[in-house]
Amino acid sequence: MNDLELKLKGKVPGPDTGIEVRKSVCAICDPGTQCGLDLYVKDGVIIKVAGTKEAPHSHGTLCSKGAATRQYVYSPERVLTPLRRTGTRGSGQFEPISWDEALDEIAARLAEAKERFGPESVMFFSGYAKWARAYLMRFALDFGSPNYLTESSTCATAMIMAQQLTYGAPAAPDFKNTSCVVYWSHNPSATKSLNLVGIQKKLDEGVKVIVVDPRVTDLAQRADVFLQLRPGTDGALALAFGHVIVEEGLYDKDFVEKWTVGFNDYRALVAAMTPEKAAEICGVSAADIRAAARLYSTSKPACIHFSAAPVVHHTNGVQNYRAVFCLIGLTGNLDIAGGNRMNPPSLVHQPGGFPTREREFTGANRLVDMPERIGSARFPVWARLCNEAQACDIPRQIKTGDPYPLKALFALGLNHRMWPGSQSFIEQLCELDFIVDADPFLTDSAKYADIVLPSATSVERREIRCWPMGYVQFTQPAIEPVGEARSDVDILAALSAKLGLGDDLLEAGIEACVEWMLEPSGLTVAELNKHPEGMWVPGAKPPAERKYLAAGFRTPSGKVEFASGVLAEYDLCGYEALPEYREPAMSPVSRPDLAAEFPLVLNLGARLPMYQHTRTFRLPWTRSLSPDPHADINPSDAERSGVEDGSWIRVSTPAGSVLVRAHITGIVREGDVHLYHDWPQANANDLIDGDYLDPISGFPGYRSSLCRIEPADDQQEGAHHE
Amino acid sequence: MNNKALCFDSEKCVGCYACAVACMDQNDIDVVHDGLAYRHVTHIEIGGGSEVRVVHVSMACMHCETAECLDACPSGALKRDAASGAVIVRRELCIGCHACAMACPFGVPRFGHDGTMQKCDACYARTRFGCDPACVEICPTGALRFCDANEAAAQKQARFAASLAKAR
Amino acid sequence: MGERVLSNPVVVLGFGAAAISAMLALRENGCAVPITVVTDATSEPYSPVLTSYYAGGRIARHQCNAWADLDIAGMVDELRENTRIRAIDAEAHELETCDGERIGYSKLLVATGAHPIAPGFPYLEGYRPLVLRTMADAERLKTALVRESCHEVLVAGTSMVGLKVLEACLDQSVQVTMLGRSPRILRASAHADIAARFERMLEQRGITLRLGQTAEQTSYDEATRTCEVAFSTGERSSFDEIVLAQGVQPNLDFLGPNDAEHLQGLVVDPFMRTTMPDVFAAGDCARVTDLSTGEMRSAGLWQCAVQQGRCAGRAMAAELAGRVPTLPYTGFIPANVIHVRDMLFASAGSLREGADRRIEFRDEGAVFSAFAWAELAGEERLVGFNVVSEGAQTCDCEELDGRIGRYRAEIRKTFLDMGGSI
Repeated sequence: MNDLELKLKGKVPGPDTGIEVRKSVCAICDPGTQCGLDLYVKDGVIIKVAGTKEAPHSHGTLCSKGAATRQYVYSPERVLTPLRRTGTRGSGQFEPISWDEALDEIAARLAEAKERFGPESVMFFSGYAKWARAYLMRFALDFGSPNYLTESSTCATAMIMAQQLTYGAPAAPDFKNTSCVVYWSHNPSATKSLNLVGIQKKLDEGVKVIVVDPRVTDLAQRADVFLQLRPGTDGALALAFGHVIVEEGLYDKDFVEKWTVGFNDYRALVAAMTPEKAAEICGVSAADIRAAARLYSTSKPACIHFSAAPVVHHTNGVQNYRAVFCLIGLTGNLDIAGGNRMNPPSLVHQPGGFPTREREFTGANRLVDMPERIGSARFPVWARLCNEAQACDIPRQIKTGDPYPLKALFALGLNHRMWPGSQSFIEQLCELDFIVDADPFLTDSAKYADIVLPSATSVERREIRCWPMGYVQFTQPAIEPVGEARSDVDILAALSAKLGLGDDLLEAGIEACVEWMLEPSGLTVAELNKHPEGMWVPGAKPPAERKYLAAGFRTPSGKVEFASGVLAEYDLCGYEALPEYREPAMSPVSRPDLAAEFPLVLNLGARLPMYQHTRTFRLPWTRSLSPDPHADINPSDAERSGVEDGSWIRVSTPAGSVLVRAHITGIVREGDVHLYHDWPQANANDLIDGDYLDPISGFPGYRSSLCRIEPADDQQEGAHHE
Repeated sequence: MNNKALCFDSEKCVGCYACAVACMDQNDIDVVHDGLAYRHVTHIEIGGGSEVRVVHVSMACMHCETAECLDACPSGALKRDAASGAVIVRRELCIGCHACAMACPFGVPRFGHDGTMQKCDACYARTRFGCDPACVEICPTGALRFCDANEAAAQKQARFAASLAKAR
Repeated sequence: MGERVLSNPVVVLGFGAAAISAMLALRENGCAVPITVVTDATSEPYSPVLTSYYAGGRIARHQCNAWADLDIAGMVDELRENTRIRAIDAEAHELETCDGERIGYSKLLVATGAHPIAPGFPYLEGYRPLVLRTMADAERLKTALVRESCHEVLVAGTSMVGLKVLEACLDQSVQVTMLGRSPRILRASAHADIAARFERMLEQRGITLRLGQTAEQTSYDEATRTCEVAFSTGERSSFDEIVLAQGVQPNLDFLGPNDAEHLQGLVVDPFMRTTMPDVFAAGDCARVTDLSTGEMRSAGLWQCAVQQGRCAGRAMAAELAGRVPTLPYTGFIPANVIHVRDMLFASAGSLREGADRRIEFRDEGAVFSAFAWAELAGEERLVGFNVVSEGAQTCDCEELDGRIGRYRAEIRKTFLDMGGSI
């Protein structure tokens, strides 16, 4: 081979090979990641991807999902044109129609629903990707519906609520400046692997590490103290931390005195939760609890690395995480360097060190004059703390029409398998008159829509993202859209015009909207357009420390609330002001009757590095790495159940059963089954009912219920389930 | 031959598979019809109970200094690339006799549906022009590197020494 | 060695894998002494392993040269083609050609390979049976197989070579009967149960097996161009061609009719040195240690020829530079793999049964394997394996290909640890 042939084989960019590197971001998982994507484009086609080396957040790395971008973008399952349903819902039978036809029909049907049943009868939902959410919310409110909902109804919102209830706003770990980090449920080997670069460095520098996780993760193997707890018992463990810290006088007395309320009640609460008692509940050793509590409270500064969903995916989730977050206030590690710091988001849930008008752009203040949102009555604290409707209440309201009927759904990225009792969820959605779903792929959920619109992926569209170190990127499309795909924002703008909503700004398109949102930052679209690879924000400021000194905390008392003033108002709902520990609604302790038949604790949250929800199952590259659904089972439980490694087993709960392969591993506790979720042929989320929810947040108890396992003789059945 | 080589450090590997997919992307691997990945990640569980540990290993062709496959290939399909030292396969010369599979102690040679052998070529077509192999380029932890083998060993030693010092 | 001898070239007898590997090693190890190649062939070098693929029509003639991209001719200072040797005068450091010419050498490598033999096969008046070894053999075989009227072929011999011939015949869409004296195929390398499975697979694919039989009488009918064969069972059949693949013998006839070595190969030490001073041997004409039995024998394997040639080249270069050779050739374990259509057979080590052995079978449907275990220092170690597979498994045998090399390496280690003492 001559040099040019070799370069083409190696995909080496340059004028001689005609291979150009274009910059974008990966939005397969979202947010807080958005690794910089280098797209090697030749003749308008991506022929290779790599991480962007200059990206300060991802340092040139990608995970296995982002590395498969080419198969994501060019998947044969991409929707190429707008589609109109011709068969029954779910049948997957569609006919291609023009954009004009599709938008006309959508506008007519939505206007009809508005006319007959009121604008609130139309729901506006965003799943993945999350970048267009502000635009969708604005669009929903323009339309007159308060029912803007997102996949955060089962993802991060409950975690945010737990922090809002405790100290007013989320406080992210300042990992870079810390001397001790508690990973309370974080597995960077499987998600957010871009964090690994920093973690590796800190570990080499000797940072102290405490890991709380039901599984022996890679991080756990490198921890100074590892607490492998029973799923759903985080609250008990956190209270026992509090017990040790209070009893041994290791708390920040000055901070607690000046900046907290309810300490005396909290002191009484934790006094009862001795490490020995917690050890019994959580299945860890009391000595380890003491060691961890001492390490966290005596290392200065120390931070808690929390995560979006694992701890709040229990029926006691909000209070569990509240008990954890109380520790940050107890030790005075709140809003200080190396502790947990409040850093307000700039764009798409992410701080960027600059102010924007994103919130104003959504027009959320219009909500006050509108009918109550879905879930408001059932989850009043949610409604009070969050601008969205609670999507887990959709099936109930469709069924009962209480407080008003729901008739239509307009979705950007619908995935019914994200909801508990997924099958009955989608069956309820079928009661709607009209469903629209915009998605890059013809997903199983999209097959239930009346109109499917082809969405562009991140590399085909423009989107603006920022990162906490003060970096911002307004991407340019790297390739022409696949088929007739359009950016979600373009879809909303076009539809707004068709509906005659009179929103000139939204209808002017993304550049105008971005320019408007960025106004307070001093950034301009013109400047951003010069840096498609992203740029440092001039004058970006890290957040000030101890902002509470001037402004207090955004809680009713203005202080950190061991006893929540908000929760106290809702005692009629059965909420407790203190973060009391309650067993998960289905646990061997709370339901010994059920446990007789279903003796194992079932956790539906485990993730593998090549999958994020359903997003990369359809890509042959990622799929080849783990082709079948499976469950992690401890060797002792496997032996007891007569299950062999790699064999097909049936995992059953009172709600249903799935067939998966057994993966026998010592990284899970005896008595726990961890089931990998979202598989179309073995949907873990069908193993709990749609009503198995945390009463405060409405979040499903995905990560603690009860099950049994047995060998499945009908192996073929499992194999053929696809 | 330069003395840079693909180096792997299992202590840094977290088994994230980024290398495996980056390799598929670089080499346009059709896993549906050929089923052949060049790079594989395996997870080895060591110990049990509270002592359980998982070691991740990312493996492809080792490009052995004395490569048995090179000796075993009767058709000249396998050869060493002089510039990079990589063992490469010229599929147009491969007769699919599987002798390399028999010779390789690491189970590297695989055969596609056209019957010819396929494997990692250490991205010699990239390293020749100063680009890293795709797997190295993407690795988030630095477990895979393209560097002087002696230098990599020295760094590993230094890290071990530091951990000893810390343990005291 | 005297001055005169030292100024002689290195003479390489043969132009195959061992010979070329030795020359490459001589040059890689800094030896600048001129090289003379003496060969009875007339063609450019070729790989004997490829001849069956050529005969089967899978590859072209030029693809049979495994060294096509190396300048082999440029390494050779003098190439004497078409030259046969009558004797070696070890004392004088000279070769004598059949034309009576004498060629002096400083070091001599005997890498003459082997030739097919057909013990006990009845002579056919008017017909010369086909064999498969040299390029010329392959040309003849190919011509015969592509002949329009060639439908039925008898392959005598059920070892690896016989199966290679079978593969070529199948590639040329010819019906095959395989004849073997032994009651089973692959007697040397396969366990009886594995062989039985393989036989069934062959029969399912329309191949006639005559095992435990011999050809008693043969005759050739010039008019119909067919060979009539009477088997030991009393049955008779006619064939369009007969291929003899019953074994090989080293090409060492120049050593003299009384030298028993020319039947089995030259015994060499770990640096491929024969008992004659400055005479080395490598490849099929050399006898090296079979680690699985401890016996000295010709390996008859391509990879062994390459490695032995390299070892000899290195050793010659060292001695010529006045150094002691390093990196000895430690011996081989038998290892073979053959891929016929959708079937694969692989074997390594020894599957001999015995009180000191445990044989284990693993039947995974399309993949059937046997493992031989023996005890070493209180630990059970792998000493042999066989695997036979068929169907999509073989085409998609990602896992199988991954396994066989590991087993072979494991077996080799066992025998090295045993010191060849089993």
